[in-house]
Amino acid sequence: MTVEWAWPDLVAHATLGTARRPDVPDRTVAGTPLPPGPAERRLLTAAATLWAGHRASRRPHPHGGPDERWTAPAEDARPPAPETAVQLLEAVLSEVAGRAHTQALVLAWLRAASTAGWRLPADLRTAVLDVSPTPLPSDAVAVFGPHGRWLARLGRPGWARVLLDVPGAATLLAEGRADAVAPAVRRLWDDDPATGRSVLGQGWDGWSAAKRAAVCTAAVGRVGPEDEAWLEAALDAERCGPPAARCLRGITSSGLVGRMAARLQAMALVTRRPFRSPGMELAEVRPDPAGLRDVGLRTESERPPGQGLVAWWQGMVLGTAPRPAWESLAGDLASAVGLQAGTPGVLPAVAGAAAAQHDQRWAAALVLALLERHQPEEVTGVDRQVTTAWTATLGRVLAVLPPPWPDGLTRDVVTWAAHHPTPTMVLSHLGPLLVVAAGPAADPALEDLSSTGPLAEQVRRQAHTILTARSLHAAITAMARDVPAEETAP
Amino acid sequence: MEQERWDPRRVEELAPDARSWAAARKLAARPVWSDVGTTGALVWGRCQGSGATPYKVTVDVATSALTCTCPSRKQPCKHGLALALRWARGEDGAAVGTAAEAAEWARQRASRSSAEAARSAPDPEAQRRRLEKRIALMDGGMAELDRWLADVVVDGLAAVRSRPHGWWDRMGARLVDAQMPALADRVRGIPARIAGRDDWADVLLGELGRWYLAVRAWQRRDDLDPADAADLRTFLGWGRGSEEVLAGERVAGRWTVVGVGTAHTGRLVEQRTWLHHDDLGLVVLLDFAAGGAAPATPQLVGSVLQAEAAVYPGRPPRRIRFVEDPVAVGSVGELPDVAVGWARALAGVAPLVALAPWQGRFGVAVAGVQLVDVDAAPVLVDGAGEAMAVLGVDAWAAVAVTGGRPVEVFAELLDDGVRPLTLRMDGRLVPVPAEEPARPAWQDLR
Repeated sequence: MTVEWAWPDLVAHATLGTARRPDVPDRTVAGTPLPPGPAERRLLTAAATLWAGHRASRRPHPHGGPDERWTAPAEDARPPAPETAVQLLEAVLSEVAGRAHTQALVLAWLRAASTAGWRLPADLRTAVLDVSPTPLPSDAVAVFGPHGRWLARLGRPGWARVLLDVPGAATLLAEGRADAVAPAVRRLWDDDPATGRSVLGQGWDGWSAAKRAAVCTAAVGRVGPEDEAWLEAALDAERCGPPAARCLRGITSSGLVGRMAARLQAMALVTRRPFRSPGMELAEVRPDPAGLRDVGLRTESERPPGQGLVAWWQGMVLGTAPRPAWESLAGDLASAVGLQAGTPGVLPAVAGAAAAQHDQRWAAALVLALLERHQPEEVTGVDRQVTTAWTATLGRVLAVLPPPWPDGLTRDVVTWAAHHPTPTMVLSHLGPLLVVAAGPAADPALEDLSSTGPLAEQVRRQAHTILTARSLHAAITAMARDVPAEETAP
Repeated sequence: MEQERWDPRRVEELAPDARSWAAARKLAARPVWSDVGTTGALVWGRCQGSGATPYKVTVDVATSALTCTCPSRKQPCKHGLALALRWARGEDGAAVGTAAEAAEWARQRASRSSAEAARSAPDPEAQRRRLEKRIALMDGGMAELDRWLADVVVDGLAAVRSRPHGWWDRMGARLVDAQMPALADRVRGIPARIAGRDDWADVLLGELGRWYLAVRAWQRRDDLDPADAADLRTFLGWGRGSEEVLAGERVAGRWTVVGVGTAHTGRLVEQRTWLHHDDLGLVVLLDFAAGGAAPATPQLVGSVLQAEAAVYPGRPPRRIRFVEDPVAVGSVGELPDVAVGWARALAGVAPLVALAPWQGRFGVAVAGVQLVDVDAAPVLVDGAGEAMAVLGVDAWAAVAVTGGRPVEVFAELLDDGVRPLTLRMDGRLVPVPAEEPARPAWQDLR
């Protein structure tokens, strides 16, 4: 039996228990005698004494010195964002205008601050990185400075992707796994598509099917005519067909869009009769193998479930054919939209084509038709899925229109949303657009918004949230101009 | 009764931070005010904010209480400050009676005050009987804990480690019955505290030793130094009424706010404000909030407060409560008693730790430490390459503020590491961002 104990001995005995290890010593390691008595009480006395001594004699543990990576680069010399602007950012981050609008408002703030040449306050960097889109648009990055980039490289996994630069994106695209390449594709095709295509050209053949599909999916809406060749090839690649087809659908000069325009001409029959508006009939056509390839499929059975083959194929053709094909068919754009609105089931599909092809003229004409065709009195009882799809289509078309929207359109959209049978859902969908893109007429329209029924109070609160977000957005847009001179002094 | 107008600087002192004050000054000058009036002691008004309904703002100039219906987390908010500023400048409009809501608010405050004053004086005999009953209950609880601890050690820590939570909860419940709720919380918190730790046996044996020390000290409580007895009482969960504290030791002077920490224990939010006093050294001001409410508006780190405080009995760091609302009389950009490097800092605080086994936190200020390893187990490492584990902070936000530079830190020394509360950067004291979401209760039992 030992006479004196150190802490590890005590722990070893206590772990087994004095029933198994009754050989408790006489003194602690500090020489303090333990009182006579049962083993368990001597052990507890020793534990109390050693615990107190250990606590009072604590020492730091050896570390070996900090790694260089923890030392930040010098702070850049740009002035910090002025107090007024910081208050705005803090208000946005506190979600005073609702969580749904936080990211858009933060993005607007970062863009304005980057343009003004300000530096983001150090204590807000992590909060901003947490809510920023991945990756951040390049015109909003400068405000972070070298210090922010250092932090993003070190920090939480998502932060590095927020501030991903073009060289980093090229490396990530070349070497990254399928689940990591989307931010790289977005950064490259937004800022340096030539580099993106170069990396893609070198690596495509060696990439897995999953990675190729991820690249195609991330590229939807970002590609241009220079990308047509690899996307055409991707139509035949495993798992890449549907996303590659969606990419090509947005390139109005692509061969795929041209082929779909030709199919529209063959499918749509315009009927003109005296004293009546022209009508349109769609032929019941089934896709041939070339047609299936143009939507990225190999067999008819691969199409989404829940829709007949003919109707599905008509939707594919209508959702891809460009505006000129319709103008050729109907004579002009107004007549084309009249045909589209007058034929059941056509409007949402062609609105999808206008949105994918970023065709502002077509979108402006279709928005009014979408609002008129989905009037509240007509959609009562329509199931939620249809309404959700219609509102989503409307939102995509509205997003094509350059802000601010004209007053008339702004009022129409607000009124339509307020009187919709499901106004809360519609306002949730369109709220972000109303904040950043609607014209000045939105403010009085939202303030005077009259809604009745069980959701009236909820609608009023949503309108209030949108108004708050709009006021913040307006303040952010104007903050570089409105900041008092003394606040911008270095 | 007509109150003397405040100096605008007094309004500024009420502001929770510089931004609120700047916003209040702008707001006071904007044409957003309506229905502004005063009775002399009460000032009220409506402020049109971003919403459709104006905020109702009230200022009780007799007690410096500002209220507002806005949702701001900062209290007092900019609306209250702006209204107070307008009143201080004599821009309070024509007083015609009292606005209904202001009158109701004043009535409720007056009702609360009179209710407190009307509480009957305690009956000494009844107090004595209650005390005897409580001590008897605690004696019984301590005897049971003593037997339970012995049984645990006989069986061995390995055996009790695998006991279900209910086994610990049952002992905790008996300690609650014995009116020792703080000790009960420690017992109930053990399963969560030792879960997943390699050093679980060290932690558990240390805690058992500490409880055994409490048992032995309770048995000898009449022989203890009054300060130790007071600390033991707090450790067990026997609180003190405010009257008892206010009737005890009082100290006036200047108190520098060196750090503010918050702990969420599930039921309660505890806000600890560390202050430095020339005579008492570091002291702690505790505020509590329950039921989702926010604790009192934290004092600004670096501000110097003038006030008289009642001091709780016990070993340093002493707990205080202000007798009156403190008045901010200045600010500082330095931490007190800063030691360079961990070895000196810990040596400086060791005498306090040795004398106060029932205290759970000690304040320590150290210079030349760098926050690193934030992606794994964050530590503050000093120039000699010695480190302390960092707990309870949003380490990434903290490293964003420090930029990886060596800084001065004021931290709470806990059993398992340090919890930084304040950084000194560029001549300013800056709060360290707290960990989000709130840490589980068991971590704060350390």
